[in-house]
Amino acid sequence: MTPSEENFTAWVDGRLSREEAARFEEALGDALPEVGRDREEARKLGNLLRTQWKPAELTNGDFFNHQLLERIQAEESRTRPPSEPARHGVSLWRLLWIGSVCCGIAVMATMAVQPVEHGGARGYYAQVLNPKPGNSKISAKPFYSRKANVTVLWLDGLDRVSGEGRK
Amino acid sequence: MIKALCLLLAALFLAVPAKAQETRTLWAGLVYASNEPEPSATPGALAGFGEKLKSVFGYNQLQLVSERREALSDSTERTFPLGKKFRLFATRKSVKDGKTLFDLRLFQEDRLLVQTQAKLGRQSPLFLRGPLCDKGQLIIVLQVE
Repeated sequence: MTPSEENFTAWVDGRLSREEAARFEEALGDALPEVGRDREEARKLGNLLRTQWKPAELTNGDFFNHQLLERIQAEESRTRPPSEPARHGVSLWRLLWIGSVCCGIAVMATMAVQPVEHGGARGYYAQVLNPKPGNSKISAKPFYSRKANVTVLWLDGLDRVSGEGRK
Repeated sequence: MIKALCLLLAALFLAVPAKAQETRTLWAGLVYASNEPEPSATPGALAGFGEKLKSVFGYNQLQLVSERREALSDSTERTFPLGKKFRLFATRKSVKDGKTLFDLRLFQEDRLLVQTQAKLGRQSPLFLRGPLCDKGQLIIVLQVE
C-alpha cells in the first residue's frame, strides 16, 4: 500500500484494517516515528474538536436560509455572462412543462364537470344534464358511445322485473 | 314628432304576428333486448337505431314493448306510459338552435328512478338503460322527431 494522502487520513482515523495498517506502516519506512507523532497530534486535535466545539444554534433558521439564497443568487447574477438570459428560479422548459400539465388538468376538469353531450358527428346531438337518481341505491351515469355515436343514460341498481318483455 | 314615431313603431311591432311556438314531437319507446339463438328481425320503429342498441347493450334481438308519441308545443308536462310498470314524464323547456331541452322523470310504478334534463337534436336517440327483465334487458329510447 502506498502512503497516499487518502491512506494517511484513513490510517490516522484508524479506519484501516490491521493488515492494511501494517502494510502502510511498512511503506512509511524510516518516516514512521515522525508520522506517528503527527498522527497522535491529529487524533488529539480531533478529540478536542469533537468534545469542545459545539455549532452555534440558529435562532432564526428561515431568515438565515433566505439570506443565504439571496447571497447565492446575487453571486450567480454577478458571475453569469451578459449574453445568458436571466433566470428566475424556473427554467423555460420547466415552465412549458408546468404549463402543459396545467392545461391537461384544466381540460380534464372541464370534461369532468361538463354534462355528457355529443353533437356534430353525422348530425347527432344528445346531451344529458345533471341526472339525479331516485334513491341512493340507484346510480345514473351518462356516457357517450363513440362507436355507436349515441348518448346513454346508464341506470344501475334497479330491481329486476319480470313479464315486462311480453306485450 | 318623436312620440308619434314611437307609437307608430310600437303599433307595427304589435301588428306583426307572434312567431308560432315550434312544436316538437317526442317519441318514447320501451324496448326489450335479449339474446336469442335465432333472433327475429328488428321492428321497423327501431330501424333507425336498432344497430346502435345492439352495439351498446350487446343483445341480438330487440322487441318494441310499447311506444308513445306526443306533440309538445308548450311547457305542459306530458306522460308517456311505457309497458305495464313504467311512466316517463316529459316537459319541454326550450328550443334553441334546433335542440330541444326537456325535463324528464322516469318512474317504475310509483317509484322515481331518475330525473334529469336532456337536450336532444332531431333524430338523435337517447338510450336509458332500464332494469334487467327475464332473460334480457329493458331499454327506454327517446327521440325528437
